[in-house]
Amino acid sequence: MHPQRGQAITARVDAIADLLPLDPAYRSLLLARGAIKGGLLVLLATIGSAFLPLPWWLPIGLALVPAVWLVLVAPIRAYRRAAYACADAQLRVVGGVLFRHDTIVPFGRVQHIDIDQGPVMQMFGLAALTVHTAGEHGASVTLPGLAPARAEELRQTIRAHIRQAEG
Amino acid sequence: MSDPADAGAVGTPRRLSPLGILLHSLTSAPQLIVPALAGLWSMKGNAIGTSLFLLFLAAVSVGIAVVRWSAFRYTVERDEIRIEQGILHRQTRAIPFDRIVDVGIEQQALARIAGLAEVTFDSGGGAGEEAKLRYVPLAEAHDLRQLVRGRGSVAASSEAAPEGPDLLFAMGPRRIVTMGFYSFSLVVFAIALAVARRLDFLLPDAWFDPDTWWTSVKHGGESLGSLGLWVEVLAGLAALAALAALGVLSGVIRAVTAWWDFRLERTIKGLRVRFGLLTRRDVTVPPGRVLAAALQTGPIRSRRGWQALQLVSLGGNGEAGAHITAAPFARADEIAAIMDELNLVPPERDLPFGRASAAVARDRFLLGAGLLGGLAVAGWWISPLISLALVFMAAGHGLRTWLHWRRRGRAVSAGQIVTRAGWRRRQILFARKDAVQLVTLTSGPVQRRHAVATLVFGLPSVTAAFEDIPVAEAEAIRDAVLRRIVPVDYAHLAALLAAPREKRAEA
Repeated sequence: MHPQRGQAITARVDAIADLLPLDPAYRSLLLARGAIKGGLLVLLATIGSAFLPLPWWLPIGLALVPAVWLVLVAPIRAYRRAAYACADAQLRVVGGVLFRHDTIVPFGRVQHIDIDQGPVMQMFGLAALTVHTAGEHGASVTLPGLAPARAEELRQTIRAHIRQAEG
Repeated sequence: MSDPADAGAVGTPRRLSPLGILLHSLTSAPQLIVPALAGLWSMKGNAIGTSLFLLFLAAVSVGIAVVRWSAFRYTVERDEIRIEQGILHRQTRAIPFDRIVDVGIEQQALARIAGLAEVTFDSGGGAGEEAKLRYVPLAEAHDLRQLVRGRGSVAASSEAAPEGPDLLFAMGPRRIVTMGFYSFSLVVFAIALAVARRLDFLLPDAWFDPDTWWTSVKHGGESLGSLGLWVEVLAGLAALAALAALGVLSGVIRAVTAWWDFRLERTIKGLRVRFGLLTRRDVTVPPGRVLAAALQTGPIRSRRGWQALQLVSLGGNGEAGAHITAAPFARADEIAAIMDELNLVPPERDLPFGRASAAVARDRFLLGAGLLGGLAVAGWWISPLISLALVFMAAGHGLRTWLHWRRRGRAVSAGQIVTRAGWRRRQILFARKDAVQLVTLTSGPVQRRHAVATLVFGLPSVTAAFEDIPVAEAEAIRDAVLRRIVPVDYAHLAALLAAPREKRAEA
């Protein structure tokens, strides 16, 4: 296990505190997304510099700083922050760079489970697991960046637990 | 149709009340206005043609209602209710009794006159899953509710409820009118003022115009002698008072129509609420479905001890919705009695509320003020007025931050999570730990500087957030709540919530 991963926001002594990393392909996906975002930002600044009464290099130069952060720093940090645990009858999802979140859902409160594979995710061979609980706002939690087989495995684990509790 | 011997029969298809056809035609009449106007315009004053056309429209509308009515049947089976409807596109929907979380009965003004009611079956799932019966006789509506309650899962959770109806809280006309006074609407007042300005020909000469007043004062020496100025001042004040009275009146009218004859009763099936002047609502909440209670008040009404109690109940996006008002306008002791009835710990006068981090509130204010200050400096080049406005904004931001920080509080009791928030709309939320669905801990850059985080408990239809709480304390509270809720499956939640407090305290 990666020793640094426990420091999301909190550290606990239970099994659920042993956070697992997301699939390495997820880092590639985040890097690709970051590159697109950074590229768009520079593109917008370039277009802007043509219309604004400023020296042409000023908007581009100003945009370059956040662009570099978006392309190189944010994806790496996001991947390092993102983690999950599925133990002690709970699912824990941790993530976020500037604004961090750490959510725990007891299996006993799960209403239904989705596995999503968008076109981009398929390119990287990834799937996202979403767990829904009762109620409307913020009542679901999504775990992105899993290998499809692992997502299926997690779903089976949670479903088996629910079936056993109801029976 | 509603032959009493037939009412309880199982498996016999039934029709809605034929009187409903008339109601449908009457309530859908406004939809005919556009075609009617179009027709009238094309007739260009031909009296016979016009009346024939209107007759034709009415006939078509009644005809459609009759065909719809004849195509609609519902059948009460042993363990489900089946509804068949549609003329070209036939649809049959079956709702098992044990999936029905609640049966709502509503009477619009016209339906009340006709003694009919609209019955909604709420299956607790998404909004689209419910079914409606428009309209059945009121007695049959109550029979249906009894039937479903008696057979479905709702009955299982009501064993703990005492027997016989018992009035817990009611509002007489005087209380409702008092509530109306506190509902004085600034918005209505502002609108009335704006309208009055447009209609100022009805008012004394341009009394809204400050110039008029200024000139009157300047030339006071001359006009003081004459009665003219004082008449104008008095007339102006009277007009202002009349507008204020309009604001009060609108509040009273709203309170009276919404809450007329409010009654909260304890019945075998749970808490029953009835209210409304034109549209009478009737909602019953089984005790096992109350997840949280919110005490609401405002800066002015709280001085006189007036509060409202709202309940959050499990499941249901339908009429018997998630938020139910148990007392719109009541005293603390009345509310304490109701909360006791619900197994919720009544609010103590001095609940030990924990404060949100002052350092974080201060940093947030400084961040906002710094940003506005920077803009104010930059804005000086354009116009000093902009800078002045920005400085005022920063001051307002500071005042708001301080007022909200002062009101914000958190507390944890044996079975509940309690949050206090809001300055203008004050609320204290009592949420049951057992009803928590998920727990999230979030933190932003400012919070991390001070080792605090926000702890959010997600419940069905409501969230309770402990803001800016030290991370270690947040973890301890979260872990304690999780230890309690992880072993309980959602399927057993209703039974757990319905159990009397003593029993739960043991567990």
